[in-house]
Amino acid sequence: MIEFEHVAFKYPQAEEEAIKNINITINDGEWVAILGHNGSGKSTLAKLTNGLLMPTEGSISVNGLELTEEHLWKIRRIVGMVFQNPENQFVGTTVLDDVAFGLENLGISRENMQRRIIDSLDTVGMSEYKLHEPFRLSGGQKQRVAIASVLAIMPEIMIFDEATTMLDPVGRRELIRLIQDLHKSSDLTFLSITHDMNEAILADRIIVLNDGELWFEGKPSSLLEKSDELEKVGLLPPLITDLTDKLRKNGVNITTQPLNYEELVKQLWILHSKM
Amino acid sequence: MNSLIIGQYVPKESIIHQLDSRLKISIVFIYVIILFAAETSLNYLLFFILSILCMSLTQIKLSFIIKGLKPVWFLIVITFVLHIILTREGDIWFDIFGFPVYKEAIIKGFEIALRFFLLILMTTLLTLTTSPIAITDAVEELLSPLKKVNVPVHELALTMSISLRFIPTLIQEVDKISKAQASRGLDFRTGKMKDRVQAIIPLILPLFISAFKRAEELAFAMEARGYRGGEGRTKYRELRFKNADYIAGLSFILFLVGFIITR
Repeated sequence: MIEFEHVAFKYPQAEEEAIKNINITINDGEWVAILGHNGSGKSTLAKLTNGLLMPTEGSISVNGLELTEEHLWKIRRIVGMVFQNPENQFVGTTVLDDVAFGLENLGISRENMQRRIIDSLDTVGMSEYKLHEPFRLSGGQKQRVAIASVLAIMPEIMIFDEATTMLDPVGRRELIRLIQDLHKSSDLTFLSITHDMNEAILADRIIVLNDGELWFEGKPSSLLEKSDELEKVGLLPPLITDLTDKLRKNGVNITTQPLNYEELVKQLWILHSKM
Repeated sequence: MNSLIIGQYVPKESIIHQLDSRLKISIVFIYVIILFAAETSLNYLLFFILSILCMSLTQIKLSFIIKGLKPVWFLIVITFVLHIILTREGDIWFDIFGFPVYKEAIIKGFEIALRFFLLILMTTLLTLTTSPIAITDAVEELLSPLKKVNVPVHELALTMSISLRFIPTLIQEVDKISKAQASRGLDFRTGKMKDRVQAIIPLILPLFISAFKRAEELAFAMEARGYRGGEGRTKYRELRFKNADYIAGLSFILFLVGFIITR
């Protein structure tokens, strides 16, 4: 469980606070997406969660441990993080070495390491690439390795800090599917930071940040109800919402907000049989 | 760039490739030092045989090595010629166009050229048969006694391995930047030397900026994965002496004994 209490953060040379008085609770096993335009403070929020940045005001606690120098390394063991740039988080000279890096840091024995590396690479479907050097992998494959590196540490919370942003459409789709599968098959808590609505609506709950302040918190479907206001905070409603809105304007009576095409098609079928 | 093989690694499965990297580095280190203590022609013969034996065991094609050492041949020949011209003692052997060539000069020149050649050959064989990461590991292990006098051995080795890992990334980046700048009209292939050197600045500057950005992000990623220095860390890569290593080590000791006897 992650708890933010009256958290504020200001970068040393900045005039304004990047995060202003934020109160959030993220429960165990939940998948929460944090949405926001560039500079809304969403990445800052991610870096605050595992102590890469320390709050200037308020307090943060992870599994009941307050984020202080004393608990910093315990918290980093609980919170794993996948970053935006696939290239700049690959430490090892090969896939194996990269997954081993985090385990080496924790002082895990060699036998244990070997098992965990194989297991986590299997989970993300990268075991056959284990001897590859990073420059022989695509962006999507590198992000998979990054996820495996985090999984190997066996964290309880995983943060994806715009992990799909720099990927091509195919790589992005595959990675999102992997994240969905992981969410289904494990009891990990997910926190995904993104500016892509299509990705955010897959989560259990969405938090929208605007200029460092909490703008929205709730279920994806209720966010889509506010689609006309989304542009104000620099977000584009997903295509499915756009389509629904236009259908409504043209007199098609869609009652509940569909989250994906299947739901929309289902409603259209029901409508059609009523007409 | 591809013609020079010094520093390159050629993956193969030969006996030499599989030897422990610590052993290989130590052998080459000792070899280089005692090469300068060689005096008799029997000494040189021993060195020559050892080097050729190692070379043939690497399973790397002879033509590849000879071709790769091409730029070095030039240096070797120059050293030889310089010795012939500059040495002015002993008996005159023969004259070329009225220029006296001394017997001593030929022998000295040949000795130095051979020494130079063997030195380059042996060190090149080391890098050809040992992956950069194995060299890094070996350096860390071999220098580990220095930790006691507060030399940051682990940090140095980690820096070295990260640099190695980022070399291809930065080469790709240079390629991208040079294309981007060329599309903006930058010309760094023709013109005067001075202009060409100046044209490098728009390549180097963006490269530096992005390298710093990378370094910062990498530091964040490493910290997020629990990196807090060398203390309490375990190692995934393991260096272990095998039978072949003991045999190779013993053979080298025999070689050393032979060297001392023939000296």
